[in-house]
Amino acid sequence: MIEVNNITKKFGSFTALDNVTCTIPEGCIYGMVGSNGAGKSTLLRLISGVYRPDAGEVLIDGEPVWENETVKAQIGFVPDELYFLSGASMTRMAELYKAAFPRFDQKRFRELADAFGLDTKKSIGTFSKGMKRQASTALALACCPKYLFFDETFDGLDPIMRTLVKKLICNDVIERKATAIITSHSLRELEDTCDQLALLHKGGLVLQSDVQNLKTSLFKVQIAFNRDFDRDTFRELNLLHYTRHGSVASIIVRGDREQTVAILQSKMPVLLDVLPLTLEEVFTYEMEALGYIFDDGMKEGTK
Amino acid sequence: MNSKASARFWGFNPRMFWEGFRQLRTVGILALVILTLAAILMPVGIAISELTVEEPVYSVRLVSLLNMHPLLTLLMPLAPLMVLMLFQFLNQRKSGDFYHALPVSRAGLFFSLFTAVMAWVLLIAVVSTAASLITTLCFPMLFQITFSSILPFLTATLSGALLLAGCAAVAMCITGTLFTNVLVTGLLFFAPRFLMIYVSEILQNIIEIIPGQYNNPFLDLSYNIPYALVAWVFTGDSTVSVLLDNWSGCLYTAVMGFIFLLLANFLFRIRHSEAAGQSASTPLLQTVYRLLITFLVTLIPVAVIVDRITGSSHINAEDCFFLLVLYLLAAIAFCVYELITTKKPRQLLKTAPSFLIVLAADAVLLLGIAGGYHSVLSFRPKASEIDAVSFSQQTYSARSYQENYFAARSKRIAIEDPKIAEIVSERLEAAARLNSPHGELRESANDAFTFLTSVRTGGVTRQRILTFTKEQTSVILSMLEKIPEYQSTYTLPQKSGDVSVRHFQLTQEQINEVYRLMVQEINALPFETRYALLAEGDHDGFDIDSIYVTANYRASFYNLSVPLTNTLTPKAYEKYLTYLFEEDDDRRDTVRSILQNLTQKQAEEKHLYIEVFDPVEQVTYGANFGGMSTRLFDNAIQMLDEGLSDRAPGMQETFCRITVEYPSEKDEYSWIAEDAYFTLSEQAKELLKSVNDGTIKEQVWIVD
Repeated sequence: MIEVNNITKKFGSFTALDNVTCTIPEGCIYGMVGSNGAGKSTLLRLISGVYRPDAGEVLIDGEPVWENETVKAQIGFVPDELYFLSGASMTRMAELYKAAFPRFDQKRFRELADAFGLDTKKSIGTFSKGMKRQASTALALACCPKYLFFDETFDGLDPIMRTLVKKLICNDVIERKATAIITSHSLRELEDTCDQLALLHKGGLVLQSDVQNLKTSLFKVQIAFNRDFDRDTFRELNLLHYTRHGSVASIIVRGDREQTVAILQSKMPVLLDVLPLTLEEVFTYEMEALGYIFDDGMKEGTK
Repeated sequence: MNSKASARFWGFNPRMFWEGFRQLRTVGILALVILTLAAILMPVGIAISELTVEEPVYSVRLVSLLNMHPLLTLLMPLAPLMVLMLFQFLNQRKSGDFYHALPVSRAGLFFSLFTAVMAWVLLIAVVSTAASLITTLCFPMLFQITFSSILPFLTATLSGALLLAGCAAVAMCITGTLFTNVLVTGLLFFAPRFLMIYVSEILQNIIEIIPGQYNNPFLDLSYNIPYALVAWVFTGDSTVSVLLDNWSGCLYTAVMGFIFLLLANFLFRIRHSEAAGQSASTPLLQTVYRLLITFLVTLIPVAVIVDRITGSSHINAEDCFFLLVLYLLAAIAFCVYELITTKKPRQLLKTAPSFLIVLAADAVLLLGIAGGYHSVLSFRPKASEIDAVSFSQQTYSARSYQENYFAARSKRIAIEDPKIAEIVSERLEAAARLNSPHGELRESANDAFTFLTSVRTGGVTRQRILTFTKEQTSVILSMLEKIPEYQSTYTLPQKSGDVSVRHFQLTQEQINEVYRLMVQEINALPFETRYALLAEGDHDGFDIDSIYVTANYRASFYNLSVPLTNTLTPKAYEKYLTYLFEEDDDRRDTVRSILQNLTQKQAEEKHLYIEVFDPVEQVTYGANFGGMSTRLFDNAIQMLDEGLSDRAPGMQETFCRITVEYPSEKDEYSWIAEDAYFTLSEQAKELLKSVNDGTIKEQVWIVD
């Protein structure tokens, strides 16, 4: 289990993370979304023990990660900007990983390289951006880590490779009870992979929740009456959003779907449609409920 | 430090060490090959040149490892270069993050990689040294390697490499770009010592009575081996001998290297990964580097200001303009550094006011120099305040091996005499009164004796170079004579296990005998004469050579050289010449026959160098006959040949050393040289004198 307790990280006068707290349970795939500069990469580096927090602590299995060789040996970290030794092939990089990670599995490395179709003898410098990311993923997975951290890992991968990487991550989580954290700009990218999702915004963890819960707890209702009505008509419901275009109102409700429908039907509507929400919409409305209003490009509105 | 804490501090990780070692293999193997080849080729090259000369002389030469493998010193710059290469990952965010994400503690990562650098250095040193030794041993007819020279040279080189690697490692931890890595390495290595020497030199220039830097052990260049070598290459202020038998230098350099290593280890552990790509790891350090560089440039105008203020002339308009230009240059350095490192012209505007800090630092430095100046000159104790005084001579190196034996011993002898205290007090007062950068004191008392005087007042000892009048010197010497410890100090030590004597031309037995006679003669001299000879080398005779002695005193080795004079050490002088002439018996015949042949070979070019030693007129001069054969040349040679005698000269007789050079018959570009000593007849002496005077002009060059 990963525990992030009141973490703050500053770069000069810029606060990249401000008092962030979250808990990532074992065996879960945790997705982190957020715009550029939200603090995703910083949080991942703090959890990986690359950065030392200015305040707070990161615990993995109850132990601090900073300068803890035992804990770090269980972490496979694929950062957003990849690094390979100059002129090195995958075989050479595997030797470096083997020197550092006691659980590095050479057989698995070869299998992964084959799965990605990568030539392990060729200089990584000649690889395309996507191939480099595949190489880095293969190397990290070959370390058989208990914790896998991927920063913008689908960036530059074609759809087939994206699916393969997702599959490999899921396999590790299922078969080896690994825990993964994946960051991305795109919520859609994480929607079908992650068990839990968190939204980071301007250095703060705005929201975190179970994906299934998120998807089922909010739903959209389109409703119309043959009489005049307003927001107050639905006061017994937990309304997150209310808009009305002509005689039809769209409302976002949090709560039990059956109960909500029963309540609404008791108000004798002439139109009642319950629609599912995409995860992106769920996030937008949840954020709105928290006081953030995002227009195009997730601009922050009034809080 | 318990074992866990120690592991956290050092945390050596063999796998990361090996990884670092592998990463350096290209440069390491290249250096290994180059240095090993150089180590093999150097003795082979020398041997070929010596074996292929016309009529090769198979004389075995004593050689040190430094003679045979000087390129080993290249390991000193190689070590920081390897550090810069291996720790280059700190300069990029992605590589820094990669290394810091590895399950290795920061201390362990640092120490393992640093050890990899030093392992390469050690490997190259050992392999190339072995190659040099094996190759040198392949030519036993030419070289005899002094095995005792191997360890000191290797230790000096490795400790120098450690120091420079340590500086580079510290620099890597507090900077984040290659440019600042290199720049700060240089600053760390050069700036502190340079500043100390700068201040010391300025004070010494303006106050003549304070001793030179060599009396301050901390400023002695020979302690910092790489610095001394740089000073030797660029300024000639040092000598390559810092690499030989310089154990104190090795110790100091290695200790400094370890201090830098510990500092780098600490800084590496606290370094923020985000410093990668930044010129400095913190904004404060960026300011420090910028100001330090600018400050170093402003040392030139500060020196000019000090010179003008303390000189007889005042700062005039021309000086003001000159100073303005110099400060403008400093401002340019300030801007250039900021622009190169930040590439933000707007940042330059923000930082511009900090230039005032440099000006303030200059003002503080000037005040410090002024404070030092006044502090030195205000030391004018009354005779009653002086607890003790000791007299010795200025030495030219604080390293004991180069320190004068008599100076080292005499400065330990404290004299507590009111009369001496009074003289010293008066001299200090006079020195303070008269001291000026133009040396009024020296000029006003140029007939007198100068002592490096240590004055103890209130438990604190200060050293001053004081010049005493003849009368005062006489009083001091008569006082010193009465002190048994002083008497024994200024006595030439007998040859023993603790005292070795050496000379380049005589055998050990011969030189031992000459030295035995010297000891007898010198120790029988009156104290004042003996003191003048041993302390200052003063005598009124003719000295032909000096005997070099190394003496062990209180577990340290000291040097002394004693002149062989025909007045104070006549027996030793005579014996020395007898041995010298005995040694040349065979060679003299050769030289004579060549001389006779030369006159017959009309068309050939030849050179004749003659060094004349005239004890009556107490001069040594040279004469060079050269060029194509002429009638004049032949006549001169004939006259000379008739005036040469094989016997050793008497005390007042003139003698000479003749070197004849003539072209080889086999190879027109090779010359053969032969030399020998001869006693000159009056006629031959007159001939050579006329050559020296320029009376004989045609085809004759005079050299002195």
